[in-house]
Amino acid sequence: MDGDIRLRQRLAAGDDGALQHAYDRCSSMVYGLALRVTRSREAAEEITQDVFVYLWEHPYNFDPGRGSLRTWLALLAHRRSVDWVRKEERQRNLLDAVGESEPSTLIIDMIIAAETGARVRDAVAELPQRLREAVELAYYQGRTYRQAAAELGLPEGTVKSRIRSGLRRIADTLAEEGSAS
Amino acid sequence: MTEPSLELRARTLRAALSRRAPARRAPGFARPYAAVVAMLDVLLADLDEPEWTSAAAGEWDARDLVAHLYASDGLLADAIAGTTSSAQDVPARTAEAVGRRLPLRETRLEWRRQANALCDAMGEIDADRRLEVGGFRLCIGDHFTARAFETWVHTDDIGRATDRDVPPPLAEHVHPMADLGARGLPVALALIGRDHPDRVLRLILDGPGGGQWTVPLGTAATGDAPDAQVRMDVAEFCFLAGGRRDPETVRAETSGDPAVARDVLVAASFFSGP
Repeated sequence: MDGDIRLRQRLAAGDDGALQHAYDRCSSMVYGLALRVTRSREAAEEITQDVFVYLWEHPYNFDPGRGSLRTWLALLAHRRSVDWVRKEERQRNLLDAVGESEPSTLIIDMIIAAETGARVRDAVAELPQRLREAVELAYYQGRTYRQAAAELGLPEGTVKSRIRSGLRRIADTLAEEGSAS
Repeated sequence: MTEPSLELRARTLRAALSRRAPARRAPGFARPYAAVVAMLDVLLADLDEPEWTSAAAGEWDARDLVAHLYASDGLLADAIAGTTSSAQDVPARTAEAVGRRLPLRETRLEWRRQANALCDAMGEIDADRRLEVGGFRLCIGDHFTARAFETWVHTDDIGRATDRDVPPPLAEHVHPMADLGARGLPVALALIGRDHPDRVLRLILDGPGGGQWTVPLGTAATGDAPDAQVRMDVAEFCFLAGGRRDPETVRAETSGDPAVARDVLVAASFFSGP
């Protein structure tokens, strides 16, 4: 506890030795946790880097009065890992619906990459109703196309092709905006 | 493989340091200053615009406070370099810096650049050389301690105003600040016209960075036996010295000559600026 209070002071004071110390003490835990949740070494590495960069840039956000540094880093790592898994799930569901051919994976990558902005949401909102409901189920609610078909009471083939055309339109909208800006 | 690779360690540290530089390397006497500059800088980096412009100390917002620090640091930089780039007293120089209304980002960068340059220039400086800066004649080491102290007080102001829990500096950085405050007491007492030249004070400051001081309050004071004792938390003493506590209400245990104890608490905040 006392050690964490001083470690936080050293981090705030810009002592990079304190960052190394925090990394050496907690990186196995952070990496291991991220690896268990994501099952991806690449993702676990990215999350580990993210978590320690965040600690270094936001030392005041860690409050030793509320828990140990280890616990706080574990929370950060867990939150990021769950986000990563959700994103992966969405991507997998979409791929499942549209097939793994080159152009459709490209479209999905493009949409996932643009997702931080409000741009995807705007593009989804612009879709005609029948395409929009299929895309929303698959993309935002993480349903597989089979689940979406059951919910909408439509044949699986129809839902698949609606998701596919919906994604293509979103990609067109994003591409237009990209070239316009 | 369930252990992170060594390569990841190197990559992570590199990424972190490229986004936030560590405190400037500086000789011992300037290390508290370099550390507190890093503490304020990482706080400023996190502020959004409304936080920059909400009142933090009296009428002053974070932007004014950083401009004020820039102005005061500039006086020391000038004195060390032997140049006079603009006004030579703190209020005029502050008015000049605050009046420029630089963009927020630029306000921070300009202050940080000058602070870094000050640290960088300290390599071959004699810390015992005495200099007059803003009306006070002190050795360079003490000037740096005073700059660290003021920077901390304003970091704390901004942290409070923006709901961030800013810890005090490290104990080894607080100690020289408390020591400077203790040594300054006889002069401060004389300047407020309440000197007790034949008295000896024992000052006990508790907590990380604290210690015990036996301070003869004037040349007529003889022996080490204290006539009055003031005991308080070291951070409280620093905030009192920074003008952030009222001498009447600050938590302190006093004993011995009551007039000496009372006057010491009043004198402690004499050197505080805005």
